[in-house]
Amino acid sequence: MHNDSLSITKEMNQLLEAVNKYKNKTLDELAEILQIPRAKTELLMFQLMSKDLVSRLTSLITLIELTSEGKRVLKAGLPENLLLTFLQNQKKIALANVATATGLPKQAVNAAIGQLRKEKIITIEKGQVTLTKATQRINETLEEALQVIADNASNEIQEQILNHLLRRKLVETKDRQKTIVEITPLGVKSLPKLKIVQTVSKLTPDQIRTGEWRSLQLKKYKIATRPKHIPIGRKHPYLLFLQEVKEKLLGLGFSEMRGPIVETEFWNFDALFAAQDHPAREPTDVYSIQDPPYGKLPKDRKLVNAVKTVHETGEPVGSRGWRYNWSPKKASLLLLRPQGTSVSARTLYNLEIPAKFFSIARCYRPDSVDATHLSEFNQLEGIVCDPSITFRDLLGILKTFAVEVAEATKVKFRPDYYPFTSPSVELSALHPKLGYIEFGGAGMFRPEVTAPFEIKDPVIAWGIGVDRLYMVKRGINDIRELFTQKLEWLRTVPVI
Amino acid sequence: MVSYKISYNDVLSILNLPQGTTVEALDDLFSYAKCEIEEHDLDDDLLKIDCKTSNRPDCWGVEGLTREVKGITGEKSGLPDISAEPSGYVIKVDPRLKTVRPYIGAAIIRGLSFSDFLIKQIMQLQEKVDFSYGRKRKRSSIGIYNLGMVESPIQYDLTPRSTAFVPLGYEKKLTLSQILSQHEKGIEYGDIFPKKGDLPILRDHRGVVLSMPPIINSNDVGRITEETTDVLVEVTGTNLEVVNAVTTIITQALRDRGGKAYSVEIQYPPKYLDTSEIQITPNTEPFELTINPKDIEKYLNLNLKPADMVKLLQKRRFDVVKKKNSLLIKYPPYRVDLLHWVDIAEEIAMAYGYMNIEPTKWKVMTIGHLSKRSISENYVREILSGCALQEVLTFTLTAPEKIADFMGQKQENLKNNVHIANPVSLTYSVLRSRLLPNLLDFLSRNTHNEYPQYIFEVGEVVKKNQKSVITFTKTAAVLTDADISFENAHSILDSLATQLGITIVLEALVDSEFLEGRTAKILHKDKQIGIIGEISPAILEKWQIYMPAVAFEIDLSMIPTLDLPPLSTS
Repeated sequence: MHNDSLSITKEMNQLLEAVNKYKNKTLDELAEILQIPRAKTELLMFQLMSKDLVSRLTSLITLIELTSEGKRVLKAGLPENLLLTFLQNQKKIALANVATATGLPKQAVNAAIGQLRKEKIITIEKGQVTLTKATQRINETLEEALQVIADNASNEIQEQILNHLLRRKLVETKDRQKTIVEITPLGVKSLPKLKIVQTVSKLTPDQIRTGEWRSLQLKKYKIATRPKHIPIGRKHPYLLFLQEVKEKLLGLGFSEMRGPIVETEFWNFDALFAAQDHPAREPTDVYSIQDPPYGKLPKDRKLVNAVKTVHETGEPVGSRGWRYNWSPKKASLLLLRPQGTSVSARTLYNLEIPAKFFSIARCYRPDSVDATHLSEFNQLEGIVCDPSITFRDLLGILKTFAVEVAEATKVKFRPDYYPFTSPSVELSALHPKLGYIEFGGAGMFRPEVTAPFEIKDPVIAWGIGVDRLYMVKRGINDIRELFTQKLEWLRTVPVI
Repeated sequence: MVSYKISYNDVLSILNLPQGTTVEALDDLFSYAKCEIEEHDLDDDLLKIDCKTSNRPDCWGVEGLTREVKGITGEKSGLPDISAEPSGYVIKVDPRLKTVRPYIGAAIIRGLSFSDFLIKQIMQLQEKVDFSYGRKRKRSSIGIYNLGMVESPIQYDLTPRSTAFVPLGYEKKLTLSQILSQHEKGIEYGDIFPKKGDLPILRDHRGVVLSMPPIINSNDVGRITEETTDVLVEVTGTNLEVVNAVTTIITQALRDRGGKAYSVEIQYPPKYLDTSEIQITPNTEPFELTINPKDIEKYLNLNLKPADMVKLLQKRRFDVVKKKNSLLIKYPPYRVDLLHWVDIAEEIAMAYGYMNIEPTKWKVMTIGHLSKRSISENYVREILSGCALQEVLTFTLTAPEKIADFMGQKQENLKNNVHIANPVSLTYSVLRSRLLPNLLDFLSRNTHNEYPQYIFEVGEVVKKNQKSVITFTKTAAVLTDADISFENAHSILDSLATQLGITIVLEALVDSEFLEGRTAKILHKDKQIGIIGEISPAILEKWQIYMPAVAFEIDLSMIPTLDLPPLSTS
């Protein structure tokens, strides 16, 4: 390290100067001199040591301190003197009563008796303590010595007295580390040209504006420490996924369509050529509404009549039809849409051709909720209409979906069934780990579906299992997790 | 979708396939009957089949399934044998049945050798067809009887409820009333008939009871055992076409099992039918449909000539007669699914093989637009997530308790909410008309997680509106933390309004869900568009959220700068 880059804080500099001025001072003494706490002084010493400006010498020293009995005696006086004072008034006392009469602890009583007998000031006969020599006080040097020790000047005590005090457990010795701080040659050399800076933990606008920041030292962070968690604002991961799917479809030229959650059977079933007694229209398969049970049929009577005719007779498209009496009342029943195809059916009305549409619709089925079933889920569905469309194009479109939406290159087609399409096809895409997974279905709308809307061109209807795609992507096995209530997961799951 | 179970070894034997044929190979073959192997356990000789179509009841048993597949493997070609010589048996129909259960079809099959396995397979077919295509026996139901115990003529009669016979599984006679109230099948299917009045019965000229259609067979005539070789099958129902179709389905299955079919003469009363009073069942004439090969080619684009189509259709078990500019398709009478030439187009495409079709390249050029609704909703989601609120996604179906009791209201006050008539559970029995209860529900499940918790949802809600029902979009936000109050939500609301380019005014409001003096209506141009306030601890207690919370909710259909008008159902 070059000398000119040596910069220290103001406080470090104060300590360094003190060390330079007063030689051989301990940390405690330096703390006293600088009037700063010992712990802080020690920290500054280490900071200076890290820059090789000071060094320390440590040695063990023995300190003499008062014991708790010693502290008591210093306050109350030696027990022998307390007993003397008592005997000067009473002359004699039963040995057994000394403790109670003087208020001395038992050990102190023994010490007092011992000292007074040694000086032949008392005698003890038949349990009676008798004063034999009138004396005011003894052992005054001991009392003075206790005071000296209490004042931290134990080195001035004679050894004989110290031993007496130690024997009577009025004082004790303790070993303690003594640290002497010395300035190093580098410290001496550097002292005149040290750069003194101030340490701060944060910059203030003023420090930047005034240029004061130049003389500041910023405390360094422990950058390995994990930071405090902050709650961020995020969009829902599943909705983000659906948004990405939408973007892909927009890129393919599809426009989005939306429709109501509560729908008439007309749009959901009749317009899609499902016979009114079709099993999919049973209460076990669709949710119906308590109140109001019925909605309104479309205002366009021509459309309603065309749907009625095609159900009853199959005309005008030469179909066998369903051959029953079509009920407008049944068609006006309300339900929670069980399929997104109702949205497609609405779009067929006044359709401008060519047309490509999609919708992501919340759909409902009367299922008990478990790991594979939800009462409500999302369906991605749509249509393509163009005079040039054929079944081979339908497969082409599905393959494009597999590549663009499911990011799969290999697909499998298999015959399928939908009441409203013919031919119908099931689409599976090759997943790198899971093998072929079923992810969509499609078909060409039957003429019985398109004729009432006066559409002469072929219409492809398609659907993609977006819930399934998302679960595969996230490795989710429980479908309930699509609507997860786990805040921590929502906050932390990677967006990618 | 209809599911049924078949035997792996039975399939191999019917299709003449070698031992060791893989499940995958069978699954591919079954796709030609729109069926798939859903589960399999070869140790147990078991394949579980899902048939995807509700319009192919002929494929709801192994006999019909393999009949289709034989055309693909080349085992068989063209129309299957549907012939039946007259048996001499007659069924006479009571005129009074016309308003109860008017139609019956029947056939006799002789020379069968039943095993326990085969009886179970045929009963499974019967059960599946009765349940789904027969609409739980209401529209049609099948009965099978030991022919040796029946004498012609047979009467299809209406009889008083006091009539008694021994039903299947019983040892003593029960009256028809007792059967409806005591017998398992009587309880299950009794609803098909009105509470009062005479009921259908099938008995021979001696009075031997065959069954009480469509409820239960008799215990002796109506019991098929491994000793039975000749059977009478009959189908009763409310739709003549359906009854006839089902008669051919069951007849054909038994014929496939080695029996020889004979017809039965049904004698209807005069003027009972629009057509002839005498009907011979089963139908021994194929149905016909004429197609124009050009239409098909234009529809499929598979580069097929009429001769190619003929070959493909024969693989689908059809006979084809070539005409000048058309093909006359003759198909078996059990194919109830063929309504239009597009269905024949599908048959051709299937026989061609979907995997043999080269998909075309993308070609329909259009410009894609996100809906105005989604664009509008995205603006709000963008702003609120930018305000550091976590977006959540909740169900639109909820429990009455959550939107009423938990919000300090009575359930009978939920008058604007749309309730489901046939809920599966109360938890999902009513549509939400607001988002706040869902958000509180969400927070109540996360009280162990780190605070602050700021959440929002933009979502569709549903409510009644002048005898109709509308779907519209709302947004709600809740902020919870130890140190949170009105101004925190107010700041965010204010930002939202600014970003949406509208001015809002708050007007003090007293509402039991919120704290007084800290609650306001959100007004835009003097119309209320929402509510904001500190949630009353009385409500928080119910959700066991012991943390101050402040919320707002806005009806986004009321914001003129967004394009989210309510969606109505008509």
